[in-house]
Amino acid sequence: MKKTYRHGHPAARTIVYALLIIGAIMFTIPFVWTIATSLKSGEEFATDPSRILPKHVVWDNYHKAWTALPFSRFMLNTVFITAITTLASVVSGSIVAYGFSRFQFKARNFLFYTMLATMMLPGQVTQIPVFMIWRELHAIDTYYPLIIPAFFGGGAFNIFLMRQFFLSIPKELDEAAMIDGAGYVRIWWQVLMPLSGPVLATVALFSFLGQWDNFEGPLIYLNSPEKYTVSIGLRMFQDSFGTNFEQVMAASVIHILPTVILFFIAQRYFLRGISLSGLGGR
Amino acid sequence: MSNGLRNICPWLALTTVFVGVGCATDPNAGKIPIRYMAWGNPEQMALEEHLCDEFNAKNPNIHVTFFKVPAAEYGLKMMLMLASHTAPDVMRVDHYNFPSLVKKGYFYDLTELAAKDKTFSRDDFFPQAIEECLYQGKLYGLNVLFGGDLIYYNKTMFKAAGLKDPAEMAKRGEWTWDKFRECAIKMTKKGPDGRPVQFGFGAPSSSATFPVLASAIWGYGGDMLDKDFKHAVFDQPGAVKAFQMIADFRWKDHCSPTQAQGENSLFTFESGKLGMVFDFMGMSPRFRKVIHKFEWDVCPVPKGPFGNTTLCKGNQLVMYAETKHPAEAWKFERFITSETTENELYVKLRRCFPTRKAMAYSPDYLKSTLPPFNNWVFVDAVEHSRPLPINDRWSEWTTAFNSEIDNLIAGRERDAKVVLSRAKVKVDKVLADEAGF
Amino acid sequence: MAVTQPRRNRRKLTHEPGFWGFLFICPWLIGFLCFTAAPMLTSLWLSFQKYDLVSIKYVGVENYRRLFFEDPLFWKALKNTIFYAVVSVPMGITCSLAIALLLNQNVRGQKIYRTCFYLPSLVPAVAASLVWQWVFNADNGVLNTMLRMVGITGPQWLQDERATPWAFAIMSLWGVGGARMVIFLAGLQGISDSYYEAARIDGANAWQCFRAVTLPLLSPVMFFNLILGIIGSFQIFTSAYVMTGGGPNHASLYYALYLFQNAFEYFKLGKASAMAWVLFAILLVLTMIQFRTSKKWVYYEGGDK
Repeated sequence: MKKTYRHGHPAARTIVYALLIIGAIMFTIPFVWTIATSLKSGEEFATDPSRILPKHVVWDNYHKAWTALPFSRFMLNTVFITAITTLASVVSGSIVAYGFSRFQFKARNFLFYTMLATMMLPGQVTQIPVFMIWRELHAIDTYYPLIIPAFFGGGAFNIFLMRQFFLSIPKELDEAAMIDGAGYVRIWWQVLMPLSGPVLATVALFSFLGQWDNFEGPLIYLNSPEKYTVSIGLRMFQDSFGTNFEQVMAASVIHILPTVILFFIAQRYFLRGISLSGLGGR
Repeated sequence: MSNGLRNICPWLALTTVFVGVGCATDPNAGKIPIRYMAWGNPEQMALEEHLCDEFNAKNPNIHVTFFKVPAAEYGLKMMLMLASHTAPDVMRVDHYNFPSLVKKGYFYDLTELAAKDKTFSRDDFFPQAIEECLYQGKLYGLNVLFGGDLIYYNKTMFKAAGLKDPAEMAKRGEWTWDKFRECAIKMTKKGPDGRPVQFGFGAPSSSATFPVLASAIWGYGGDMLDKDFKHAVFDQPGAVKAFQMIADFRWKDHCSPTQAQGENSLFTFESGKLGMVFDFMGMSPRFRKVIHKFEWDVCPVPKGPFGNTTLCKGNQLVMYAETKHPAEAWKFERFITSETTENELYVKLRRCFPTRKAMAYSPDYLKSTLPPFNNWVFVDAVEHSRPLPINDRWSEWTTAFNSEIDNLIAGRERDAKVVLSRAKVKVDKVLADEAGF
Repeated sequence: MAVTQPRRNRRKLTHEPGFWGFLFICPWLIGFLCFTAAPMLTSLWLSFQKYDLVSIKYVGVENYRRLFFEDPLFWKALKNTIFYAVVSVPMGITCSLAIALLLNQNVRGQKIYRTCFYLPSLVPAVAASLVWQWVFNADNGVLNTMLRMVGITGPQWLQDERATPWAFAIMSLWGVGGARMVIFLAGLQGISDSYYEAARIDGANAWQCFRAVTLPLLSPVMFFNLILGIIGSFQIFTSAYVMTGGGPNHASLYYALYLFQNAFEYFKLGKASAMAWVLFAILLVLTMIQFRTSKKWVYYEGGDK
């Protein structure tokens, strides 16, 4: 970890810690409530929902939530989709970022700005036409509509992050490799990629989180229940004839847990991967 | 190996493991495929899944695949499927959406199939259940999850407050809106700190006002829209009186929790802190499951000067207009709504109301060993019911309507007449506007 | 920026770096043309039609005219959204920056704090909406209970149309606060210690250090968060869709929600497409203004890289 400036006074440090702890509690309360509710009995939630901690801990909600729907199947599907899209985003995105960061060509800046502009495109603009395209390709009720887009760069934000990181890698390294006879593909793979661990991890984490939580995509494109993902399963607990909140919460905890663990582990790469100096067209 | 590569390797391994997923041979090849789509909680889904399995076992040449969709997104999903010509052969549609979709020609006209089917007779069913499925005189669906709106009441709370049983009062014709108000006020209690701990009546919040309002409006001789659905008429005296009464329960009599008080299911019927709520029979299975601390039952909606008309509503089992196998889909629809199925689901499991008259009046249905015991109320509700003015602009005009009624329900304004006159202008504008713009 | 290679005539295409650069960005370009550009043009075309999924009719600019001149809800939704952006973005950026600054103090257990602050962005919308209803409950919600402790009677957050916009702004702190905080933290850790040492030798106190060193060096990150924040706030949808459905009295009818209602509840696909394009135009203009004004306050270390 990088050393940063410290306040010398113990009093100042006490204030810093106090603020951090208060803030951390405020930010974790919703999560704590989610877990606490997942451990309550349905009756307790219905009769005394304002109480935070359960009177009697009911682990059974987890078992019920898991077995009420074929959750192991959903989990497997989610892992499958997420793994492929994450991998594809990292590889294809880094290729595109390499193109944007290391080469001069006609309309490069125009294309780069266009790419940035797509970040502000409201999803609803393209929703119906894109759906029609997949239908024409007979890809409804397959994983293709969820997976294929990741092979085309995996989103403007990811490409942007990687481009910024590549810009911070000295160009002299490329040139040295070129003198050694390396081609552009080899420079990408053997010079840039090995130095880009942090940003690759960051992009992988973002893609992972995005796909793991993706609800609209699976909802729109998947029909058969055996292809469903966890996020759809989660929504199926809610119904007009009364929601079993405690089971929704238990399922939510199961759903979040992998992302929390992943974030906890990956965060040391995370910060180093985000390099935003020279933002914009520079 | 490079660092970047090392980062990716675990992913690669993981991917290879899962690539095999989804590559299995189909044992149902060669059968006629029927796709069926519906929504519901896991329990309801499990029952319908079971029905599909049973149908598949009985019909070896047909294979039904059941598509479950989360309730909240069902409308969106169905619309996208219809728009892209990928809709399933059989779908369950909430009646709120039925008129707008049938008008667009998305559903298969079942009139001929029904006429050819010797085992199908419209006379077996409650006319209200058939009426919902008609469009321009033709049959476009079979009704499921149908029923009338009624009151669930906390019997223990009624007794504790020294009140007479509302179902008994209804039998004697004494169950009026005045009596309802009196009971609601008497059951409302405050704690030592002056904050309410118990309410007599749970008036719904804005988005679901209609079930209560409809019976009150009709009870006082009012209505919502005119016959042709061209103009709003809820600014007429009968309806105004009903709206005023509902708002007053909350803001004048304080016998119904405000939205803030009622949030987070703090005051729900299940919690034992509400004396009465309006709902359909479909709520019973949940209540049976979670209520153990008090006695409860059902009674009819109160009577106004113009009687005790309530509303009835169901879901329609429709067939996609572009289905390739209408005969098989019809067979499946008939199976799901068959007498045996209804008997199993509604008489034995008591999940909802049967659409067949004879079944609803059968002693098996009327007698029950589990609450609710007053099953005659479910029958009575349907017999005294009318449909809501649901047309193809329903969601549009109710949104406009609710935005004004919110003011009344949330207590920002107290005069129903003023609010309703404003709402009429808005709703009339929606109804006069060309659809689709 | 790289010096442009001197142009050599009559070289093989594959020897041209520009060709390779273009080749490398092709995956994105193809994806963009198929899944963004073509659908966008389709929806632009749709915005000039009256389309209810069954019949389609060319109506010229009628959809736009009706939006601007005959649809009070369009303006209401736009106003709500602008209010949300104006309140939530500065508030969110300030809070995330404050947290990032605290976390950057070399505190012990940083990993745990970071995870704590990032947690809310990981909670799925279904669970989050239930959580927030519980927090904002006027009677015994966490927020009003805390306010009561200091003698303030909290409003009916989700029922009072004056309070609801603020409730949504507060919610946004949790939802995107974590991601923003991480980006700030990354920026802070990218600032070299030597700047602070130099400042301290000059006798600067903590506040002066912050003003003279941290803020300018962090300005590109700030700019990035600002742009993404505004874009994100204009697209607020899920929380309003799940929690209030646009109420009370349209107080939480946000632009994307109204667009969604028009498209998928009222089947007004022409109108919805027109709305989407208006939104796109607004965001485009806003972003361009930001890029223009950024030259005055965004400081790039080392200038032109």
